[in-house]
Formats: sequence, structure tokens, C-alpha cells
Amino acid sequence: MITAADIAKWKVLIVEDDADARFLMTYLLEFKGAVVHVAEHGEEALALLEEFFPDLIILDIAMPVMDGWETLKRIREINIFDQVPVIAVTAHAMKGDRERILEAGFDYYISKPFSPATVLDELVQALNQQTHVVAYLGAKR
Amino acid sequence: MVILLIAVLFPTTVTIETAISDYGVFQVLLTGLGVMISTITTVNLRRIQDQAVSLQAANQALTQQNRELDLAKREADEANRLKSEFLSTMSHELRTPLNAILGFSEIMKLGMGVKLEPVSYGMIERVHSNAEHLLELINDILDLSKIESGRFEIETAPFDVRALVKAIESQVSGLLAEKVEFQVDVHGDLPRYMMGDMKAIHRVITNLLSNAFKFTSQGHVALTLRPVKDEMKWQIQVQDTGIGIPPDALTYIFEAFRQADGSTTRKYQGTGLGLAITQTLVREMGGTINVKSELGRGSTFTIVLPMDIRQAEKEPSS
Repeated sequence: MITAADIAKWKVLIVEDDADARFLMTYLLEFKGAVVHVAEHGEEALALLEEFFPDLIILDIAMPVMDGWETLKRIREINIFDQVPVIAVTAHAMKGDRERILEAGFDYYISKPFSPATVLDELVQALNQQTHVVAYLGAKR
Repeated sequence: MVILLIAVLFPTTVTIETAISDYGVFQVLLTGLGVMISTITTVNLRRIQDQAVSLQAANQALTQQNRELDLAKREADEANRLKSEFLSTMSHELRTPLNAILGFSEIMKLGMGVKLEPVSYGMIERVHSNAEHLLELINDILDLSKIESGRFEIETAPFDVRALVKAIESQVSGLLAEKVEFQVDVHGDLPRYMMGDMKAIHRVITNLLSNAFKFTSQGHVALTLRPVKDEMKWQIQVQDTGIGIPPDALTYIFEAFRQADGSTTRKYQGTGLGLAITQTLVREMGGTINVKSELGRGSTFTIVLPMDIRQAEKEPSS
């Protein structure tokens, strides 16, 4: 079981091209005690991976240079990161997006706009449904 | 042959001899006949030829028309695709700044690491509630255009009426006011399992209920589901004891962005799209919606939907 208090132990990589969204997510996670690194697109994120070794990655879908789909694919290709929980963030709230995102291999999906009051609790609750994610984050402790 | 024919034709009045001597006359007659026949044939042939030509022309016109129709259809499909794409992009572009506005104003409101003076708090609360309203508007506009462009597909699947009512009750619990009683009546004769689009039905009922609660400060809001007698239809009724709708407004409350009283938009928050969406959805489901209202007494909205119980009892889902 993961609890919201565990967020304080996490290293989170936020990959997001929109500066405001990046700041918002960073503020929230740092407020909960997480250590946060940011990248503006997929390529930058991949360059940061081994050095930062995140416990969790929050990945925007629509980004320049390298979008979220491609970035996820590349992350999964790296042996030591094929299990790291990757959360999609998207402002696309059209029908079918959710299915497409989960099918692609994301572990959860946050749709914009999200509520800072509840988004992390919902995230923790959703991650608890997935045994491999719980095991992964548990082993990190 | 000719003589025989003449003998048969004129057995009593003309002798065979006369016939033979007058052979030249008959030959003229016969030739005339031949000319007549060939003329008739020629005329007929020409007519047939003319008809063939005009048929061919008609055929060509039809082919041309088909080509044009095909082109028009392709153009319409393309326009529809562009509209979908535009909606999707617009939705994305509008949500991105809203995410920042809603997010930061909520963080300030909740005081997550930020301390506010009471005046600032009041202001940021307004920023937040207006941003929420804007988001609601965007969602409703997108929904309405999705339904209108036919991209919102009405699904037909078995659903459980009891599960539907339960879901509605739990959603409405947030709207309940102290002086307003919420009554739910599901008629015993209504089949528990029916075919239809549960999400769409859920949406229209909650739209009507949220209006009813919004405009009712005391008394009751009643939801009634019952079969229509002697017809394969069923009825959803939402009745309230609220402020009611002026008679002249009854004609346009289903139009987008029109509320009964221009000033109510401000007094009673809402996007002004709820009833437009409701009516469009009901029509898409092959149903009708009606309203009766008396100022100061309340309003009654009645939706009638076709009842389909094929297969519904065989493979119920929740």
C-alpha cells in the first residue's frame, strides 16, 4: 500500500513543455515533500534519466521535439526503467484518449485541468490498484 | 399471290380478269403501302433514336449528378473531419491555460504554502469559481457541438433501471437543500432491464434535476419513471415546486444560451446550455421532451422515450 505521505520519499521527473503547468505540478509535488526534476521535452527527459533515477515520471503527451508517446517508448526500451511508473498528463479530454493512453503502457492518466486538492490522492489510489507499481515503489524505499 | 388476295378481298364485285387488267393500280397502291410502312418505320426509328439520344443525355446527367453528389459527400466528410479536428485542438488549447488558472487559484484558496489576507482570499475565490464556470461552458459547448455534428453516438445496450436511479441519487445528493425534499418514484410496471444509452439517459435526468434544484428553494423535486400506457414507450418526469417559467419563455428555454429571464443567468449560475443539450440528446434517442410550468408554482418536464426490451432481459448489465 502506498499512501499520500509516501510522496515525500519520491523522486519525480516532470516532463512538460508548458512552463505554467510545469511550475504547478512542481509546486504541488514539492509541497508534499517530493524531490522534483523537470524537463521541457522527451529528449531532455531521456538525458536526465540515469543521472536522476526517478521513482515516478509525469509525462505530458503533446510536446515539441519528442512527444509523450515516443518518450514512453524510449523509456521502456531502457532495461532499468521498464518498470518505472509513468503517468500521462494531457489536456485532450476527447473520447477514446483514455483507452489509447493506457493501451500505450502508461500507468495512469491525469487530465487537465486537474484539481491540486485531489489530484495526488487520486493518483496514489490508482497506483495502489496496480501490484507491479506498488511493488516497484515499495522496493525503492 | 396478289391475284389470289384480290380474289379473296373482292369475291363478288370484281372478277379475276378485271383484277388482272387493273394490276397496275394495285401495284401503285401496294407501292404506296410500302412507302407508308417504310415512312412509319423511319419515323419510329427516328423517334427511337431520339429517345435513345435523350436517354443517353439523361444517363450522362445522372452520372454527372452522381459524381457531383460523391464530391459533395467527400467535401462534407472532409468538413466534418476538420470540424472534429478543430474541436479537439480548441479543447486542448482552452484547457491548457485554464489548468494554470484553476490550479494556482485553488492552491491559494487552500492555503497550500501560501498565506492570504481575507480580501485577497475573497478575490482569488472569485477567480477560481469563474474559471470553473468557464470550464463548464467549454465542456458544454464541446458536448453540444459533438452531439449536433452526430459524433456523439447513441449506444444501445441493456441497462438496469435500478442501477441508473441509484447512480442518479448519489449524484444528486450534492444538490440537496434543507428545505427541498427529493422524491423518487419508479413505477412497478416499468421493466427493470431495458435497451438504451444509459449514459445519455443519466445525463438528461441529471440536467433536469440540477435545474429543478437550482430553481426550487422550498417544497420538493420529484423524479418519476413510468411506462406510457398502451404504448411501447416510457416516461421520465421531473417536477418541482420552484419559481416556474413565464409562459412566453417556454418557447425558447431549449435554445442554447437562453434562460427564462435574461437576468437569471447571473442569479442562477449555469451555462445556459443544459436544456439545449438535454433536448438534442432526447431527440437523438428518438424521444420527445415537453414542459409545463406555472409562475411561482413550479415546473414539470416530461421526456418520453421509446421502450426497447429486446434482449435486455437476457443480458443485463449494471
